[in-house]
Amino acid sequence: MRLLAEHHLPTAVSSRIAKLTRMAILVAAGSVLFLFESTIPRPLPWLKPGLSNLVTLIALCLYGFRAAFLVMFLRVILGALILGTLFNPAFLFALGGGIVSTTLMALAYPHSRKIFSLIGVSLIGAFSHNLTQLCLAAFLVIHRTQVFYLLPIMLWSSLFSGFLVGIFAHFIVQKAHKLYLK
Amino acid sequence: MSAAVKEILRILTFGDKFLIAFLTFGSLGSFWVFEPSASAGSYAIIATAGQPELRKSLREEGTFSVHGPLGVTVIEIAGGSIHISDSVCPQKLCLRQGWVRRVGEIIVCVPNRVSIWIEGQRTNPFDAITG
Repeated sequence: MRLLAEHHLPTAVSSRIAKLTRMAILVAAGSVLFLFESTIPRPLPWLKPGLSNLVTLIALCLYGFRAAFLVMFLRVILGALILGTLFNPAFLFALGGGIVSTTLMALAYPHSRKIFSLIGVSLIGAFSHNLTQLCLAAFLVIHRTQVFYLLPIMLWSSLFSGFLVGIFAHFIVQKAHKLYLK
Repeated sequence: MSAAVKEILRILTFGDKFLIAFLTFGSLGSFWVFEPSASAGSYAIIATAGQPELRKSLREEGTFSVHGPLGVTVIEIAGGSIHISDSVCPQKLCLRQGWVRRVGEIIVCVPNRVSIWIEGQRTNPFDAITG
């Protein structure tokens, strides 16, 4: 990244290249996290910690809502392509949850430092992601409200994973600001 | 490590703490409301996309299959419990959900759009949460 900036490219061009590169790295890292959490053994097979929300949050902090949305979208498509779940209901859950949680995190983020830190923003993302998935399952795919029996365990998991993701995002964004920006 | 903990405590805002408290109590409360009852169910409802619901007594042991959008899902009832014993879905998450027997417990196979839940007499007062 530094090498690019020190080349003889105009500043605007090199910063666009740097942004593109960093977003591509975030998409790749998010896909790896997604695959990692798909393969580790879990107590309940459909319960995933949602670690890949980390890259969406980082993109939101560094480059704003549009970049975060793009990173989330590409990560969901890439993960589904690798797992072979493209356009099945699991993909619908991931995309729906991603869209809602990214939007809500983008709404909460401008208030960070005053109302929420990144931990709070991440908790909002994790919570809304799980709730969207349950609602999609209940009203679109299964048409049964019985799936809300899964709500307690999902709330617990979103509490822990949201907290963890928020902490990681805080330290990574802090480091990124020190290294690259400003 | 302690520096990291200090940093986390420093950045936690009032909103964060409120959110953490809300989620903690919310999930504890929802455990209470949505907890499957301790009582064993008497029958299972099997819902498959585009087909009428099947209602099977948990006392009738045996194996039967339903046809979802992807293909066949094989369901087995034995010893008052029900589970999915075979399915065409790619990840087989429904098989790994195992046996269920208590009122309110569910098994869901998302790819093949099959869901199973247990009904019967409940001993706890909350049974009016379904839509």
